[in-house]
Amino acid sequence: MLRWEARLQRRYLFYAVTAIVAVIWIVLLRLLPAAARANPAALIPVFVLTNLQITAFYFAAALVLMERAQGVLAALLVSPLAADEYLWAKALSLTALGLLENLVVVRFVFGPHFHWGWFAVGTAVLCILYVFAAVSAVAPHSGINTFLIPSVGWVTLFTAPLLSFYQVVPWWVFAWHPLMPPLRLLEAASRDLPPVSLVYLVLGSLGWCAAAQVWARRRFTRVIAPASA
Amino acid sequence: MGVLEVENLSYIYAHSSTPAIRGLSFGVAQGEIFGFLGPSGAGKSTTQRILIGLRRGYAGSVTVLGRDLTHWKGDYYEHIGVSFELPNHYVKLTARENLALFASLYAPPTHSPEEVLKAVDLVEHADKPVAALSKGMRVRLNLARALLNRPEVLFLDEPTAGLDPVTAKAIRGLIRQQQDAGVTVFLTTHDMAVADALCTRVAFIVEGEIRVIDRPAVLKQRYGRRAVRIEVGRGPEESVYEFPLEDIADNAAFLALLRRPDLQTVHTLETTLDEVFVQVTGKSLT
Repeated sequence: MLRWEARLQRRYLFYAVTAIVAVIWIVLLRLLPAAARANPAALIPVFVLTNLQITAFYFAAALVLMERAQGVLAALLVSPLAADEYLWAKALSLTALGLLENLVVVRFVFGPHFHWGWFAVGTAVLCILYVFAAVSAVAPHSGINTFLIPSVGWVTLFTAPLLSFYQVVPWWVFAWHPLMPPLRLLEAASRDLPPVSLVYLVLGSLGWCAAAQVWARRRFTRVIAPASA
Repeated sequence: MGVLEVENLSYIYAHSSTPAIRGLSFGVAQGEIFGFLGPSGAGKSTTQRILIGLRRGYAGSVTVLGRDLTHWKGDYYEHIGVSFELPNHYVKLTARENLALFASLYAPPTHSPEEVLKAVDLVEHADKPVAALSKGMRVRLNLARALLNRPEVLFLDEPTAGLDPVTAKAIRGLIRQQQDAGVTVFLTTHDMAVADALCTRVAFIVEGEIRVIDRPAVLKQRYGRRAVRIEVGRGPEESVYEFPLEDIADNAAFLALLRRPDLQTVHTLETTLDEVFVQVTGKSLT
């Protein structure tokens, strides 16, 4: 299913849109003053967090809505495809796309001197969380029109931990926000963090991914599937 | 035991206080084409959704291929094929790609996309995006997809709806081929002509209840009249006569009418399945 998911995304021009968005980001970010670009630990997390809201969250929501509108979900529901396979096919394919896009943008804007491993882990966790959140968020909606306004609330929730990240509010306010561990992992790509912190961030990311998957599966089987059958 | 055994099946939707279906009981034997007939809102779709595992929380029992439906897991779909009434495909993929995608979800051996495309006469359109196919072609593609996994039980919902007469005839032939191969077919329709042509037995469902189950020929005989109607003459001279079929070969009046030069029509008064339905249920199929 993963292979087909990637092919579908290509046919729906997700790859083309992502490429155009990446070019726009590269141009815009390179227009920033050199001083601003000199602090990637502060800039990269906010860039990746917001950029993936399109590549992962909105793309995943659009895919589910399209499959529902075309009736394909009903056909998938009477096939041996399990709900988890369906969810992970979307999560992994969009993670691959999001990872590639953000690696290219960051490489062209900030140069090659990063802990690329931590960058990849943080980006991948964000993608997975966004995709599972999208499936859950889109569950009660039958079309993109009814989803757009509520989606603003979701995006606000996703963006909220930046307030703690940039110390606008105390760190503990959003310490348990699901996106905080991957945000800190993105920070770790360009700033050394203590090993114990990295272990905590990786474990926290895995925990939130597991919770998000359970939540997405429940929303899929209890809301999306009955409404699509 | 039949391939499909339904006992006292009832279902109430969450938002409703009245059951959508009530106390349905029937069995379907292997190789049978079982027609489930009724007007819109009668409970056909609810019953089919339960049988294909899309609705849970029903009362009563459903056994498919010897196992209670609640005991089947995802492997249930390895054994059944489902064709929905409305076309439902990835419109940006070609017909062949749609079939290849779904074939990849089943354990082998499956039919190849080419085999099922040939069966529904879509080979020459195999590499067109579904968006470029007509509604009739998309309906045929639904049926092709349902055949991919070599199902033992086929659930078909209005398989000839919206098709031209030639294609509809071809689809009926394909369904008969499946029957000949031992596949059991559960056919949901409100098209009595299709049911009459295909079904081994039919069940009439109205307002969530089955009113009658029998073979179409038996029903037509039971509810029709064993008689012949003859029309002779034209305009003001026109006369209509009816004769019982019993001993008709020795009926002098009947034979005399057959010899008249102004004989217009001769019809048997065997009823149609539509009329049987109206008589049994007091409802129209529209």
